[in-house]
Amino acid sequence: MSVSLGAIASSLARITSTQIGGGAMLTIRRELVRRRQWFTEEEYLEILSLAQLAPGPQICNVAVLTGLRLRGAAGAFTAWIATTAPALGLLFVIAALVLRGASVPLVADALRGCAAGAVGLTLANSIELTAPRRKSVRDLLFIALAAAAGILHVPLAVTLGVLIPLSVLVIALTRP
Amino acid sequence: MTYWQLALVFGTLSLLGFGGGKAIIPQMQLDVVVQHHWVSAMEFARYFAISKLAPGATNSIAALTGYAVAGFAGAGVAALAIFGPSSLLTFGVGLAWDRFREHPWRELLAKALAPVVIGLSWAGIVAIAQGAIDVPWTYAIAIATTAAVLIFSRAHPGVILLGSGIAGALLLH
Repeated sequence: MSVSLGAIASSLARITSTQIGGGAMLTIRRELVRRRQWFTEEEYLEILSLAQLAPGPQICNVAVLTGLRLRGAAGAFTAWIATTAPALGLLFVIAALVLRGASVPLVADALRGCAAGAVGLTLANSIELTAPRRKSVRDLLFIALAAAAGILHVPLAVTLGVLIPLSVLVIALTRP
Repeated sequence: MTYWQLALVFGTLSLLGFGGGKAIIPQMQLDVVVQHHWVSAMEFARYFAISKLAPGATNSIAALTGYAVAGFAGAGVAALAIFGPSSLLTFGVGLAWDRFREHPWRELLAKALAPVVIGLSWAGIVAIAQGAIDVPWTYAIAIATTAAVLIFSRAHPGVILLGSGIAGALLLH
């Protein structure tokens, strides 16, 4: 069974251009596994774990790996375009409306409210990510080190280059 | 020259974007606001909010920054730079699929990476707050939004963010 490039493009473009706030990652699994049945649950989990390990937005990585598996390099490229281009187009429409509207004081205040809200959103996400790890001294240590490095403007390449190998080492040494 | 700088800054961030992009926000703010003065801290925070309200990845702040610096061509260069290298790397990883499949390093690396990414997302709060938090009401909105997201964990974050926008229109002058 060969999946058409058009089907790959339409599935991914529809999801990534309609979902906001991380909703795309939940929807894409339903689409690929349940609706299209391109992958089994296990195959999808494998794609996901690779996508999470590589740098870049997870949704892009899942898309690239999906396209690659279904239709090789052409599939991967199609998936990449479908995932990035329509969403960027919509972002620019929204940004143009909002930023142009910001000459109206009320809209500018609303935008300031959204920016303050986005800080709260990120804070809530960070709390949610940290809470399940509160019992692991090792995790808390590396969370604190990385946070301090980021706040103190240590270059990201240095932070990752030092902390990731160190983290691997600590895990390897403390393994039972 | 500007195009090259956009490509270099965002291309580097693309390859460092482990954990989906949360981790690069502090460095991106530093590069874009402090180092190159492409946009102000306030504009960066606005772009961040807009990227949360619009479809697509948060990394697309890069495209908005590119537009501010050099119009649509700048946006195109910045978008290619932020989304290209990481996707190419993923493509490469995908090609070497079978070698990575059962590799014990994969699980170890994922486990080692997670707390570092979470720590950097905490630093990202500080980076965004620089351009978003000033008068007392902005603190109130940020805290209320945090509480709303944690309490109504099933509500859509976009809806909650719109709520903080309404609060801003009412409370900030």
